[in-house]
Amino acid sequence: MGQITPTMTDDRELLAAIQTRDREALDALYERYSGLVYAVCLRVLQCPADAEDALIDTFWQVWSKPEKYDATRGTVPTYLAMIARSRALDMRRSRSAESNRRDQAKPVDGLAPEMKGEMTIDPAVMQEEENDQVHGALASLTPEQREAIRMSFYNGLSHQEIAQALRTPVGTIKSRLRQGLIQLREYFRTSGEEPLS
Amino acid sequence: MSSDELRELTLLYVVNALDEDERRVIDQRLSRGCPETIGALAEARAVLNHLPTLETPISPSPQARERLRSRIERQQSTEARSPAADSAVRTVPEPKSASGRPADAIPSGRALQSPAKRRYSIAIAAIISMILTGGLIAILVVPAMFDQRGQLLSLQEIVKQMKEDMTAYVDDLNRLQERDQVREAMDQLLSSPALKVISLRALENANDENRGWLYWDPESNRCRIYAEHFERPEGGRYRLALVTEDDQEILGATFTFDDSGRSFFDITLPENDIDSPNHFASVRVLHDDSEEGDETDDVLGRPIFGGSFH
Repeated sequence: MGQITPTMTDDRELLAAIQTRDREALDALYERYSGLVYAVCLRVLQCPADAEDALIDTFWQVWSKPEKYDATRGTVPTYLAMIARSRALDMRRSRSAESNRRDQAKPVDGLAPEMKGEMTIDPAVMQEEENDQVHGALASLTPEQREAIRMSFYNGLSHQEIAQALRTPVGTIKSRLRQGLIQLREYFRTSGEEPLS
Repeated sequence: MSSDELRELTLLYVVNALDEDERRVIDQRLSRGCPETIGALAEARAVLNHLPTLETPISPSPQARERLRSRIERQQSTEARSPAADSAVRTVPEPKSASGRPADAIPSGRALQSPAKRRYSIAIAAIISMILTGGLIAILVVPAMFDQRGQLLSLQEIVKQMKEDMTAYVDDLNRLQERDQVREAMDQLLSSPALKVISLRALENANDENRGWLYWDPESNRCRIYAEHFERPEGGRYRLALVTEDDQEILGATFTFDDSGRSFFDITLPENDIDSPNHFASVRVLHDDSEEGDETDDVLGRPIFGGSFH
């Protein structure tokens, strides 16, 4: 098994080492990005235990198929965050389906049953949201814009569904999404934080 | 649409926040391969893909790392035992504990079962098998033990009854199978681009009820004849002939009416050297009075029905 050398600090080198079944490289990658991956999973799943399952699945996927990473399509943290979001969304859909089968609950306040679970936010997570140290690009958005974008991106809701959940007119939600996304795009373009493809 | 408008719309497109009309505009531009739209969409996706990296990192519990390590160790030990099964092993899902969480700290599969537990499982399986077998016997045998008036039959009668039921069952299966084959053969014929359909009429003593159709695929030489209300004595041999303008039979095949009551017959004609089905003028079906081993067509009897290609 290879060793993490002082020069092997580049994320892409870690991915290359993982392809050779180097567990220490995976450990290093985990050390570097498990906090980000866990945060993304928690954002989607709203449940620490489920988020840890999704975190493990994410790094397991990296370990099992490291060749899937395409350096031309983005940085390693972007790639990890995309896998994390995808795994967490899959997990939430399957758990929501299980929950619906058990509960057979009727829609509440006009929300479809499959959305009810998505809208139930853990109070601890709500508190964390309050304390969230919003930084960088997200800090340039209003809380309402952040909320609309997060609901769209992490919960996979359409603008009508967000409007329904927040009891806000559809046009307002659409405007928040548009303004928020434009601001994010401009932030990335001017800050050079991530090269846009 | 200006460039800025397009870039705004594609941002909303990737988060599913466009109205139907707006979405259709983007879809149409994409389907035309519009480079500006494709570029704007790539830019919008890049913005969204980068969004999660803005999240404030939150440390997971130390147990999460241990669970990941344990999962990898399990996989590697399995690979070491069975190198050939490498790809399959990787797709094996993580074993779950009763709580639904992965059970990383314990070995998986049958190794978990103690001998006593295994014996218990076998006993349960045996009992379930006995119950199912008993139920099956009750369903199949018990009804056959009584006649239509509900009186108990003798063993001989029971066996006879079961034989009859089984024969009827097999007959039903055969009929279903035959029906599928018939349907499949017709589907194949109808799908042929070269298919010829010829109306058939009785050639002697014709009346309105005597009618039929010949479906002929010149490429495979398969034919199906539908013949309604024609004379077709059981056991009689007949010959289907394809005839040219100068009354020469070029293609022909013999067939026999059976007692199935079907009104159609599937026939395959011999190899066809004629390069175009347009060489044929008519088709006819004749009595075939030849004996086994006859090498001439001179013994062909009277025509029963036929039709013209034109």
